[in-house]
Amino acid sequence: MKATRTLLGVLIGDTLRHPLQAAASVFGIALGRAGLVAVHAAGGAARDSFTRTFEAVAGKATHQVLGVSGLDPGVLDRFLALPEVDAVQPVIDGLAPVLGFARGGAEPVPVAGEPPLKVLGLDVFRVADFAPRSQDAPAVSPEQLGRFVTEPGLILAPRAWAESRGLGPGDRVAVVADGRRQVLEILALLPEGLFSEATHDVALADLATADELFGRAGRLDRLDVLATQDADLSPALAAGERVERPAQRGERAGRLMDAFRLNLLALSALALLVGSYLVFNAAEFTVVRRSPLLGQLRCLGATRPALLTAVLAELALQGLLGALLGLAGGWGLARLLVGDVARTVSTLYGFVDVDSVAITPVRALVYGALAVLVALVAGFLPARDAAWTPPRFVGFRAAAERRFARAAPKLLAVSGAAAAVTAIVLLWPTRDTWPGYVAAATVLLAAGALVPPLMLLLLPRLRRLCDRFGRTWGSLAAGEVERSLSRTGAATSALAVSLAMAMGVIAMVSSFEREVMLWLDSALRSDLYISPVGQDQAQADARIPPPAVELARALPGRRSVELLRGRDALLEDRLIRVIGVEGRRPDQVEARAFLAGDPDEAVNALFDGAALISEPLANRFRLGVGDELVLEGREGPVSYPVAGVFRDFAMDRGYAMLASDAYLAAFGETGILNMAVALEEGADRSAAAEELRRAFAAAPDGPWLLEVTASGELRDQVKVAFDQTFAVTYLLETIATGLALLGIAATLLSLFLERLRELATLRALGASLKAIAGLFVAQGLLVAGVAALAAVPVGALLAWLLVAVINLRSFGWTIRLSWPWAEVLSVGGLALLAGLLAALAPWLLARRTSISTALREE
Amino acid sequence: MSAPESSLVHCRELTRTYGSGRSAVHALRGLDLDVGRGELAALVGASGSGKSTLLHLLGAMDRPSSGLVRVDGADLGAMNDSEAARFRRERLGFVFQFFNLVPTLSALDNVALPARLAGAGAAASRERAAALLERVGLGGRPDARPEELSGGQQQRVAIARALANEPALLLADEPTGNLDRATGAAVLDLLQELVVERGLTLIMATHADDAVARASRTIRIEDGRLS
Repeated sequence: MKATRTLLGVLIGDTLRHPLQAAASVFGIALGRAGLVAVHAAGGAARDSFTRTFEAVAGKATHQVLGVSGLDPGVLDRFLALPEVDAVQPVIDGLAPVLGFARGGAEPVPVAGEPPLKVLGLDVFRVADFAPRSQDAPAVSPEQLGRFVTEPGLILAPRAWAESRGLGPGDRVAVVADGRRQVLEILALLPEGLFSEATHDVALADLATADELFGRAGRLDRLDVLATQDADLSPALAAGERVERPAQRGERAGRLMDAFRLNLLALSALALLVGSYLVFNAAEFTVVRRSPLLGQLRCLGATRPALLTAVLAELALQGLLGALLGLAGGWGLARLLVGDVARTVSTLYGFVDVDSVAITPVRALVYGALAVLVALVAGFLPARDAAWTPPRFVGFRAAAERRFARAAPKLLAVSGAAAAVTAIVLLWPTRDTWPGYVAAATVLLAAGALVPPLMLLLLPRLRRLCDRFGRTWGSLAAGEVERSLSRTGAATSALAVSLAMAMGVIAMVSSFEREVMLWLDSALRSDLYISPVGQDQAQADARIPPPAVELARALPGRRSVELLRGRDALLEDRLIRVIGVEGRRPDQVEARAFLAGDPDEAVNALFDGAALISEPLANRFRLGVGDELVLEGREGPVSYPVAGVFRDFAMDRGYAMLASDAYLAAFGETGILNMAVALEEGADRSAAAEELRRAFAAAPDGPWLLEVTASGELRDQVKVAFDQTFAVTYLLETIATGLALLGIAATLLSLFLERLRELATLRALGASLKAIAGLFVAQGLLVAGVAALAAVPVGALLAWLLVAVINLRSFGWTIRLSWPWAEVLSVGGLALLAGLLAALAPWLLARRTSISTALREE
Repeated sequence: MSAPESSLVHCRELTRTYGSGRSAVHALRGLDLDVGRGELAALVGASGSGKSTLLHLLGAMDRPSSGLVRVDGADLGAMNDSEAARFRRERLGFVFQFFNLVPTLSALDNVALPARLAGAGAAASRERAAALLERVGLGGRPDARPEELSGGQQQRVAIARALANEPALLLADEPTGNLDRATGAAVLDLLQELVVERGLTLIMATHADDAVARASRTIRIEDGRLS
C-alpha cells in the first residue's frame, strides 16, 4: 500500500510536469461524459415535461371521467349521487396560443415565441375541494369572485408567469381560441404553488368563460372526481364515458415517447463508446510517453501489482476530474440541446415547453461513478502494459505487438460470436424493438473486432503491392501501421464504427426524407390548406369555425373543399387518432400511397362506412384489409371493416380514416381541424390564397385567425420540420465522429512519441523532413481509408437495421432504403481529410525535434 | 595530417553552441580539422568534450553555429533539410553506440532500409542487404528481430546498414561502447576489414584503447577544440 502511494506520488508528479498531456486525458473523459449527460438530461427533461403535461392540474382528484365526445353537464349529478364520491369538479381544459399582451387599457402588443397558455375552466366554488395545497387557495375578494363568475373573458393568471412578463391584475392577454383572436383580462394572480406541477402555465377561468372561449357548446372535457381509492364508479357511467386514474393518462402518454427515448438512449450509448475509446487512447498515450520512467521504477524494485494499482488509481483520479468537468459541460450542452429535443418531441408527439434542465445529485453521482468505471475499464489494458513494462524496455513494444498479432484469432472469434448473436436476435420471434438495437450494437462490435485481423491480413499485401511498384514510403507506412496494430487497429476500429454509424444514420435519414417527400406528393393533392393559427401549440383546441368553411366553399374557382375532423381514441388501451374526412374526391387518392387494398374499391368502401388505416396503425395492431376496427363511440363500441392500408409518416401512433358521416355518427361534432381546397385546372393558387385570407379577415363574425398555405409552401414547411427533427441526431453524430478523429490524431502522436528515436534514425539514414511528413500522411490516410472502406458495408447493414427493423418496429412505417452515395462519399472524404490533418500534430513535433537530440536521448 | 585540398573532411573555425546567454553551452569552439580519404581516424576525448557534436555535424544531422564543414566537397552548413537528407542517404554511413535498429523490422529489412529510402526497389535492396548480412557474418539470421540478437550481432547489422548505400564516409559514435571487450574487439575487426576492403574513410569516436590502437590516426578533442 505504501509502495503504491509512493508510486502514485511519482506518477502524479510526472503528470504535473506534463500538464497538457494530462489535460488531454481529462478532456477525453470529460467529453465522453458530457455527451452522455447531455443526451440523458435533455431527453429526460423533454420526456418528464411531456408526461407531466398529462398529469397536470389533476390536483387531489382520484379519478377522471372522460367522454368520447366530451361530457354532458348532467354527468355531475350522476356521480355526486354515488355514495363513494366526496366531490366533483367539471373541467374544460384548453390550450390557447398567445398573440400579445396589453398593459393597462392599451391595445395588446404582439409577442412572438410565447408558449401557449393553458386555460382551465372550473367551477370556482368547487376548487377548494381539489386544490393541491388548500392553504394556498387563491386570494380573491368577494367582489372579484362576483365578477369572475358573472363577467366573460376574466382569468386568474399564474403569478410567476404574469410577473415574468410584467403583467398584473387589469392587464390583458390576446390569445387564439376557437379560430378567433380573443382578449382575456387578468382579474387576479394565482398564488405560487397552486397548479405548479403543471408543465404549462395554467390560468383559471370560470367554466362559462372557458366554454365560450373554446367553443365547447356546453360540453365538458372531463370530470375530476374525489372518491375513495377503491370506489367503483362504473354505475354512474353513461355510454361513451370511461373512468381513469390521473396517473394512467400520464403513463399512456409517456409510452408514446418510448421509441423516441430509445433512440436517445442509443445515441448516448454511442457517446459513451467513443468517450471510452478516447480514454483508452489517452491512457495508452501516457503509458508510451512514460515508458522510460516506468522502466526505471521497475528497475528500482516496483512490483507489477503495485505499479498497476498506482496507474489505475491515477486513472480513477483523472476519471473523477473528467467526470466533474463532463458534468458541467454536459449540463451546458443539455441546455443547448434541450430546445432541439423539445422541438422534436413537439413535432412528433405534442407540444412541450422545456426551458430548464436539472441533474439531480443522485444522477450526478451515477454519472461520476460511471466515468470512473469507464476510465478504469478503458484504461485497464494500457495500465497493464504500463505495469508489465520490463526494466529494460528495449524491444518491449515489439513483443507487445507480437502478442497482439497472436490475439487476432480471438478477435475473429469475438467478431464471429457477435455476428451470430446478430443473426439470432433478428430471427427472434418478436415484434419488439430491442432486437434491432441489440443487432445494431452486435453488428458494430463484430465490425470493430474484425477490423484489426482484417488489417493484419491486408496490410502485408498492401506493403508487397507498394514494393512491387516501388512505392517505398507507402510500403513503409503500411509496415508501420501493421507493426503498431495494437494501437492503429484500435484507432481504425473506433473510426470505422463511428463512420459506419454516421453513414447508417445518414442513409436512414435520407431514405426517410425521400419517402416522406414522395408521400407528401401523393398526400397533398389539394391546392390550398387551411388550419387555425397556433395549431401546433393548441392541437385539438385549434378548430376552424363553420362560417369559415362556408367562406371557402364560396371561393370562386374552387373545385372542392375537403374537411378533416379528428380526435384521439383508445384502441387496446393505446391512444390512436381517428380522422373524419368530408368531401374527399376519389381523384385525390393516390394509388401508390396504398399498401394494401385496391385504391378505387377502398375509397368507395370508405364512403360506405369502412375505415382506411395508416401503416403504423396496421403494423402496431396487426390489422389488415378485411379485419374489423372496433372503436369506442359515444353510444358504445362501433365496428368498421378495414378497406385499405395507406402509407403515412405523419403520426407514429397511427390513425384511422372514416368518412365524415360515420365519424359524426360515432363521435359527434368535435370541430373541424383542417380544410383543403382544390382549385379548377389552371387557377392561380396565390391569388386564390390571398382572396381567402382577405375573406377570413373581413368575415362579419370574425376575423378568423386561419393560416392559408399553398401546397408547395406546405411541402417546404414539412421539409424544415423534418430537418429540425433530425438536428439532434446530426449534432450528436458530429460530436461522436469528431471525437473519433481526435482519437486518430492522438494515436499518431503516441506512435510518434514512441518512435522518436526511430524517426531520428530514419532521418540520420537519409529521410528528409518531407519524407517523414509523407510517412505520417500516408499513415493517417491509411488508417482513415481502411476505416472508411470498412465503414461502408457496416453502415449499409446498419442503415438496413435502422430502416427495416428499428424504424418499422418503433414507428410502424416502411421506408425503402436508398443508399445516398454522395453523402456517404463525403463522410469518407471527411475521414480522409481528418486523417490528413491528424498527421499535422506529429509532423509539427517532428520538425521541432533535432536528429542529434533525439538520438542522444535514451 | 592530410593536405587540405585532397581531404574528404575539411572543417574550419567550426563552432557549435547550444542555448544562449548565460546558459549557453559551447560544444565546439573554432575547430579546424582535415581527414583524408581512406583514413581510419579515432576521435578521442573526455565525455562532454564535443566528440558526438562533431560527428553529428560531419553527418549533416546538426548545423554549425559558425564556421565551415565540408565533406566530400559538399558544404554541409549551406544545405537545406532535403539536401542534407540526400547527403546522408547517398554519401554517409553512421554506426551508433546504441545500434538504433528499428525494433519492428527484421535484420534484413533494417539493412535494406537506407537503400529503400534512396528509392531502390524492394527486391534489389533486399538482395544487397542479404549480401551485406552475409559479409558481416549474419547471413543465417535475416529474419531475426533486433531484440532476438545479441549486442554484437545488433552492431554488425548496424554496420551492414551503414554500408548499404556504399558511402564515402563512415561515422561511428562509440561503436563498442555498449559491448563487452571480446565482442567489441570482433566488431572493431570487422570495421577495420571493411574500411580496408572498400577503401572507406572511418571517423570513430571512442574511449576504447583497443580502437585507438587500430586507428591510422588519433584526433584528440578537448573542450571543443583539437588538442
